[in-house]
Amino acid sequence: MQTSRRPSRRWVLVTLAALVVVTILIGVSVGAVRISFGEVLAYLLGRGESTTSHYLILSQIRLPRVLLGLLVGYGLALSGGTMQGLFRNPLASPYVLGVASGASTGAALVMLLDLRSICFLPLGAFVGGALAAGVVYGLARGRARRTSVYTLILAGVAVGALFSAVTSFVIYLSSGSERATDVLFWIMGGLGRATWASLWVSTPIILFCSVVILALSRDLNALAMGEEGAFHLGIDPERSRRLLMGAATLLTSAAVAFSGTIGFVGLIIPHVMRLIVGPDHRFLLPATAVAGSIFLVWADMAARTVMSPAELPVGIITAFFGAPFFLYLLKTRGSRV
Amino acid sequence: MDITVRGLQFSYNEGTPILKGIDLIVCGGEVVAVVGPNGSGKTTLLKIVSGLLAPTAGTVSLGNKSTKQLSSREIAKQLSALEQEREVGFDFTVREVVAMGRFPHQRRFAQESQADRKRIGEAMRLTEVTSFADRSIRELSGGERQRVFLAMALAQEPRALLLDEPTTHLDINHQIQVMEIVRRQAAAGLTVLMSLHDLNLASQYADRIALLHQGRLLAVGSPAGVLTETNIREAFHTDVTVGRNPMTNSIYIDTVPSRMERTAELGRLHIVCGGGSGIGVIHALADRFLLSVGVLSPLDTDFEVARHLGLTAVMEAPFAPISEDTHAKNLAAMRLCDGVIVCETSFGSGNLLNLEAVVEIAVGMDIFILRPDTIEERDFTGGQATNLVHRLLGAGAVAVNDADELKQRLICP
Repeated sequence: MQTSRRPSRRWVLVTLAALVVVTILIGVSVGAVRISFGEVLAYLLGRGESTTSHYLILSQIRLPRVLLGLLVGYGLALSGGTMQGLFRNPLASPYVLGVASGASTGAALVMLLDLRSICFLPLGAFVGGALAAGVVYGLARGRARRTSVYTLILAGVAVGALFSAVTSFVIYLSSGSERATDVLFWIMGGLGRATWASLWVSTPIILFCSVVILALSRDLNALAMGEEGAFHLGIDPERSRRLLMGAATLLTSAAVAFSGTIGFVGLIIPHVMRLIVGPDHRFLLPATAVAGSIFLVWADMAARTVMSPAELPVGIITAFFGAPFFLYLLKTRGSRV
Repeated sequence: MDITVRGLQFSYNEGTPILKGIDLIVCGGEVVAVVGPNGSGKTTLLKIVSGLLAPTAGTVSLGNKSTKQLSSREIAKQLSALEQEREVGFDFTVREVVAMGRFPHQRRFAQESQADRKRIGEAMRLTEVTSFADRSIRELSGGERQRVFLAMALAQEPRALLLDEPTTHLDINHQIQVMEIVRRQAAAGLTVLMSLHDLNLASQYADRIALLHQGRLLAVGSPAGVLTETNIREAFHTDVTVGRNPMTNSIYIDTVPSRMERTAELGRLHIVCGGGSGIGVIHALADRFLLSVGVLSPLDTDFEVARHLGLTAVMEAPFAPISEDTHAKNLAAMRLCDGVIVCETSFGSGNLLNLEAVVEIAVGMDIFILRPDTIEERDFTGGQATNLVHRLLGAGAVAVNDADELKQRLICP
């Protein structure tokens, strides 16, 4: 691959920024009730009539939903990109590694226990996610110096299956209750539960994790040289790895807590962006995060409109795109990683 | 900057000790090669010097600071190291990989400075990787990749460089290329400590050699002082011959086939040779026959070969004619044999007696003569040698063209 064909970073930045703006505009105007761009712009600029039904739809439903989509897409893609860098492996992602399943179990337990405060949700998710991450990370790191991709994925699949079973079990135990139905819908993955409160809780978590990960993005480059290579570049590989794994797990948990299980964003987006901008994590990770935002909002738009007025869980849309792509990756890159 | 290793001991989790008291100083601008058999602790030694492993006992100092007091980043500012097998995840370009060498000197969010760029460009030029700067590191050949990693190490502006088997898996031209780059940097003041499994490469490019054996330094010093036949036999349990390459004046090491493998299943043969004419024949036959040679002077190449292979050699002092006594010994050696081979050597008054000896014992013996057709060109006895050869041929001696034909005839007549 003659890598000089990579587009310039400035061009990528401008394109992504423009796409974010366009995505927000289209995202809030599309839906069961069509709202014109004029109205959307008027609202966003603070000039709308605050009493109309369109205003209410925009402020209470559409905008929080689009913003949550941006945040969740951002979090999933960034944590996926981080995990791929950590394990030097383009097949890693929050779902493949079982971290998202762990987070789901944690969040589902919190919901079933009816802990009312919205802060418990990401906390529970993080406890579950960290548990899964710890097991997979320990297995993958402990066995040998060089982690085989198969060990990693098998461990992730096994841990993911175990946590999914726990989730199903607790839902089964509380079946019939309203809460169980609630959890079932949540698990399917969607942005329909978006509220301003969920945004206030998830934004600071995601910002914090972004800072940690971007500060360590250089270490991810060095880790691509292997553990010893990174050490010889003056990096403490174990410390960097743990911090990065912790931040990626927290990101996944925040995303899962408010949107349920939305697969494949963390797998495809980092991979596609690496093909476009190259593997330098200092630029790849922010670009991946923003691209994840854009992708998830569009997937959500598809979920809202494909069977309108009914609404599909967005996880179905991302899986439709993601699963074939994952198989393609396994076939073409599986032996190389 | 000097690297000072004192009283170094190492074992994993209190298991069997891998290094048992190493003392070594590598001075600024010096190239020291650590050699030794597999498992002797070369890689472990380098890992400890680089700070990757902590010693169980003893100290490693860079300049006047112990590595124990230095963080990995502080070490990386002074020392770069290249481990044995480095695999890069993802398609980083060559330029991106070399630029990583600047990490220890850069702040976390810093952009590449003018000074960084200059250093990166220079490192790429020194290692001749500039022409493929935009290619992916993962699609390069082994030799190209190793040069890129060297460039990365040099971009680090190190004062010391550690290399663990930098030439493994490389073709000979790339081995030399890598060694030349290292040598030039050492000339510019870089301290170099590297492990090598190729003793010849070590003797050619290192100022000093440290021979490691079972976790101890068996010898440290000049290549000629360390790589002796005795030291190598002790460390590697292999017989070698050590010579000096007249082209480069560096010593070279050659293996000698183990004596245990040789059998005399097909009989005994005596070889008349000299001046290197016997080498081909001796090597062609040594594994199947019990050989003796003579008469030869100890300065003769054929004598060297015979001695290294442990053959019986009848010897005469250099530049002296063959004495009665030696002639008698030669005859005795021939009579023990089933056959005699006369190689394509020159005959003068000094060694004519060898041919006369063959004529004397020829009856009932297989005699083989290599290239008898050229005897007149090799005859400096005024025709006496030519006569003797013709007498032998007349008495049934077999003429052969070369060592291979001879072997063929002897093994399946």
